[in-house]
Amino acid sequence: MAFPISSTLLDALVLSIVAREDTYGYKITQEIREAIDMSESTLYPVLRRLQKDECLETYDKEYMGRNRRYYRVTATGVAQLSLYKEEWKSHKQKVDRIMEGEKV
Amino acid sequence: MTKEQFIEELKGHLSSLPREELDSAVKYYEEYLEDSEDVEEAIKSLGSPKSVAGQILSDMGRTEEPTTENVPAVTGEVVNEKKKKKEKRQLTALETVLIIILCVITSPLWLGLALTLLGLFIALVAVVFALLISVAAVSIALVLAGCAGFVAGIAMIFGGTVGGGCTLVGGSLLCLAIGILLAIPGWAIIVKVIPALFRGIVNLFRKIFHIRKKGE
Repeated sequence: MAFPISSTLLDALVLSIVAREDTYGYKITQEIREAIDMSESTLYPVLRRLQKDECLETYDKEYMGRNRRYYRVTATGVAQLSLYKEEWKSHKQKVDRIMEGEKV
Repeated sequence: MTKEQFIEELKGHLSSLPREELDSAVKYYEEYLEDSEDVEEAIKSLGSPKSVAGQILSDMGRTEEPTTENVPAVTGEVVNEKKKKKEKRQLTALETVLIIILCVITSPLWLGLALTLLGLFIALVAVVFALLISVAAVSIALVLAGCAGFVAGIAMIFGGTVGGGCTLVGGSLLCLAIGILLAIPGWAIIVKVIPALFRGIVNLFRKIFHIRKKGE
């Protein structure tokens, strides 16, 4: 993937994935890696930051005899995500307009 | 590298973090490896524990600063509250280094102060010793003078000077008595206080040394 990814976009992707369904670190990493070339160790700091900003919260659930930490989007996270989505839409339109050769 | 080795090394590289942060990061990577289908492959693609830890540490260094600028209004309030909380945060590596440099630069000041205190302490010990030695000397002198005077007094009585002899004997006995009275507490002090003093000094130095060791 040729386009480097910004940390804001990464936040938006993580929030989207977790908003769809509560999930855990490994799965989030794999899903993002399907779309972007991100190193596997990039995600933990992102999750930590989103938790600090109270966009995400965690809970432990048993899985195969051990605890697995699941992430869940908070109300703040939901609001944040909808802002990101709008931002992304307008960003994409602007980029498309240039790339498709339309006049601004 | 096995999963255990990876986690141990990660712990080592993150040891400067507060307990809570360390546990959270270690738990995340333990789970991450358990969730991966092929642990060896996962460890390979995660990279070295050092670089994984580096990513966490550098991100924490960055997020210590409030990141309100490009975060839209919704989280603004939340982040501001966080900012207040963060004023009591742990020292970052940079701050620790700065503090060490500051200590080195100001060393003439506190070194002088420390040496003055040490000098005072040594003086105090010397005074206590001097007092003890003079008490001992006085006590020994009194006893010796008492004995000598007693003998001389008896000799005077037999030599004919009964009055003078009796006065000398009496005075000598008084000296002897005072000398012995001084010797009793003096001896107790020598036996009990001096070893206690030495033990105290040794403990003090051991404590200072221990603290330095911990500080390293």
